[in-house]
Amino acid sequence: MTLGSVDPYPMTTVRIAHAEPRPGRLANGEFQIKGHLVVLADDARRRAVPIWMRGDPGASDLSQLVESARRPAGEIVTADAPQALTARLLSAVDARVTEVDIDATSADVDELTPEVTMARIRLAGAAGTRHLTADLGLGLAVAAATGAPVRLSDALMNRLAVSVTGDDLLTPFLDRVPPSARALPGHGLVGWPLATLPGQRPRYEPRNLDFSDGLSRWDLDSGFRRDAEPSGDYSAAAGDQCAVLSSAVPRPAGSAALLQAIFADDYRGTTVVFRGGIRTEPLTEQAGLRLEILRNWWRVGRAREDHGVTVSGGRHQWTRLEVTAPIPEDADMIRFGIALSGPGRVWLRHPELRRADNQDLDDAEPVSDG
Amino acid sequence: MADGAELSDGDLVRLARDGHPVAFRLLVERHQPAIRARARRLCPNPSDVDDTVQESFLQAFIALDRLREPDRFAGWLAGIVLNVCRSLYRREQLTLLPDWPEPLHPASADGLPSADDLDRADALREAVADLPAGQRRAVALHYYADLPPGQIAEPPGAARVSLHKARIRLRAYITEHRPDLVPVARRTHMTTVRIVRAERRIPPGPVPDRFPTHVIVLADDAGGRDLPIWLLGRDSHRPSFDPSTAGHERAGTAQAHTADELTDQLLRAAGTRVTGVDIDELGPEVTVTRIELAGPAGTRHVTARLPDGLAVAITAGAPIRVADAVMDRLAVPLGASTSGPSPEQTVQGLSLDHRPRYEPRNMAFADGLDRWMLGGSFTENAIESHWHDYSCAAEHGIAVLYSAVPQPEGFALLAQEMYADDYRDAVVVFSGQVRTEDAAGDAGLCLWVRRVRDIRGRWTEEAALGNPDNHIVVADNRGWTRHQITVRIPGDASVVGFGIFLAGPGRIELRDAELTRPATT
Repeated sequence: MTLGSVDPYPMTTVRIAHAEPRPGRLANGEFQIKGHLVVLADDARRRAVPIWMRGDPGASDLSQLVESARRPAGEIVTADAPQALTARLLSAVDARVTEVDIDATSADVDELTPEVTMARIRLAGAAGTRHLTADLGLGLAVAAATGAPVRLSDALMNRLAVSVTGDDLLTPFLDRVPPSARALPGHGLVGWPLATLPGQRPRYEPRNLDFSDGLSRWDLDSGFRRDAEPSGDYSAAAGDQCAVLSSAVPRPAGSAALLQAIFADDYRGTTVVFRGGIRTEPLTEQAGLRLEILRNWWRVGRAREDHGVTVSGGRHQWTRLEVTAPIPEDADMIRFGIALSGPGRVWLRHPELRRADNQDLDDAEPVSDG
Repeated sequence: MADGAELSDGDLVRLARDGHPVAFRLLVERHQPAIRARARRLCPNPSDVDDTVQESFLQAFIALDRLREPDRFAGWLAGIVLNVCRSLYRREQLTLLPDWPEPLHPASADGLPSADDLDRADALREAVADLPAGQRRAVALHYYADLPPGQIAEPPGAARVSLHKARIRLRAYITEHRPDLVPVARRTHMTTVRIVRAERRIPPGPVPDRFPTHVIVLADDAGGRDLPIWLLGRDSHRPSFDPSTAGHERAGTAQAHTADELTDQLLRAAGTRVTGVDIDELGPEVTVTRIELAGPAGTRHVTARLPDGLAVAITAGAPIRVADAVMDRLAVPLGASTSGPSPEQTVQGLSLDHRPRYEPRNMAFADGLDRWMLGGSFTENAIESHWHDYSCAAEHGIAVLYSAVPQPEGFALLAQEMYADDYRDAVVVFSGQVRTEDAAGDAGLCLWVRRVRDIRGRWTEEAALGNPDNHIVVADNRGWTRHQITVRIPGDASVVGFGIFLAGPGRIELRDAELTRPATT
């Protein structure tokens, strides 16, 4: 008998039901991948267990292999996942993957993640039976390519699997996706300027500056923490040709901004001035205009330059503020809008972004417009 | 996985030519039983059957573009099997190197010449007849009259020189006129190369907005030459090609962290070694490797895409062998393969100037070819030799796309792309005045849509212009004629592209181009 050929624990065979890129298709038709939601189904007992993978090895290959298998018969798909060749090489030497077992590295895991699991691959061939270990995504991808069964220990399944009714094995698990990988209506993707605008990619010029289309093209950005839930500490609204950014709780965490992003192409090498009228509610802690310059990530590593002017306390009357900044030749995008830190409320009206002329450069003082 | 059951052989051949790797695999799976049965009938030695089947499919893959009638793939493949079998069994009988053991007195085992023997002997006689008189005499006396060199002429060294020269000329003659008589093992001489460099660069082709990709430089140290191989598009994103991570972990018990590491470990666990990765051919539309495996069941060969084969070789530390003919054709002097900006320049030189806009620009070519891009299948090869087969220019409001060599590879586009956002669900019309000259292949106007997350393989002519509704072929008329294409832009379109195309020699010119959205009635 070959060592390891007897399972030490009862095992449940599962099916790879989904390996979905998330958030996937956005409202604007763009496609963003911030990770993959994998669902392993125990069809016999009508239960399933989700795994969230975030850029882990093999995850995108697995997604591609699962998608290829799902295509209707007769449709040719381009499946160039490297595991397809692995399967052919093993077949050529009369070896085959007989099982891929998922092991938890700790007995008390409460969620399957690549960090706390590994794939144990059993290989049968002329040289006998061998076991190899691999990262979870790689093991699952090999299973998908070779058709080998995937197994989890009964104990693990009993603890982690969720009962499912009906045939939809994806929807029940969508909320298991970390907040940063969700596309939230009205919020977009946290910390990702290109996708922050729900349904709209940046244009080359400012739009909806009078808020006649509500907050279209304006995005509420309440900071970026990779796995943080959206706090809901701030909110934004538009009306009467104004936008307003407010704290929604008495002691909001961090800060928030209401911003519009545009491609920087037409402003490179110039100086821009962002100007707007703001008004603040009494007891507002800190608020003001913000101008951000995002530079090409491959040159300077996702660098962002922030420029701003802030006020503290309440300003019942409209105050016209402006921010001036040079746009470097490697600028990728410009974001402009209002920011609020702490409790309070700030309104914005008549925002304007344009190339600065000499007059602008000579006069950068705040001006009250009554 | 789709099994392609509803697709004809011809469909699969066309898809395979378009770069769908699955399509050829489906052809293999479909025909393998019949080919194996045929090989069993043709091969006297059963142990040769596997080699014959593998070699047949490899030759078919490499020669797929030369199959004139794709629907007759089965018959064509059967002919390849026959040729492979014949070549295999000629190997022992006909050897042109290093000496001349070919029996010019044809006789088969039963004492009677076979048809193949006679055919071969005829070919050799023709070759001998073509030799200079002195060499012909040396061959005749040595091989026909069985005289040793010392008795052919004085001094004996002169006779050996004559025989040597004769053999070289005969090899050249046979190789040129009857390559089918050259044994497979002799026909493909291989050069073992080593990977000297794998780095990210911008390909130096004519397209200005390319992104960095991997170039892998294979060095033939003995021959003093390099072979740069470009891995374009998705193929370039592979940890094995990153020198900082490739081959960092070979321990048999270590946990695999990349797909290539896992493949390597699985093969080792199966008692199998990768003994070599061969590149028999490199060229437009032909990027395939043959992976040689040695395991408990003997030697096996598996064909694989070029990036897959290179990744396997890198991870396994296996030698890479390149056909001499490929090296002769494509290699450059040692150290001269650094075309394109350096990695540092690559990063600094990237530009976003060619990010699509939301509307057509420079349609009158007042700014030369600003915002227009030259691309097409000729730029999407692993080797650079055809990257300048087409060129373009603009002057006096006219853009011209033309072949820069007599026989350009693939097809070319001179086109502009724009974001589709403002045109979704609308009908757009691309029109312009076109003039062609000496266009031996197709030339005309085209308009295409890229949807979000389109799966895109190599840009062959069929892939780009396969839809008859998205292009117009213009007759070779040397006079200006106005043409237009009308297309409805789907709701999930991401990018709209439009321009002129040219497949083959000749030139095409465009003026008064317009992209409009006619009012719907």
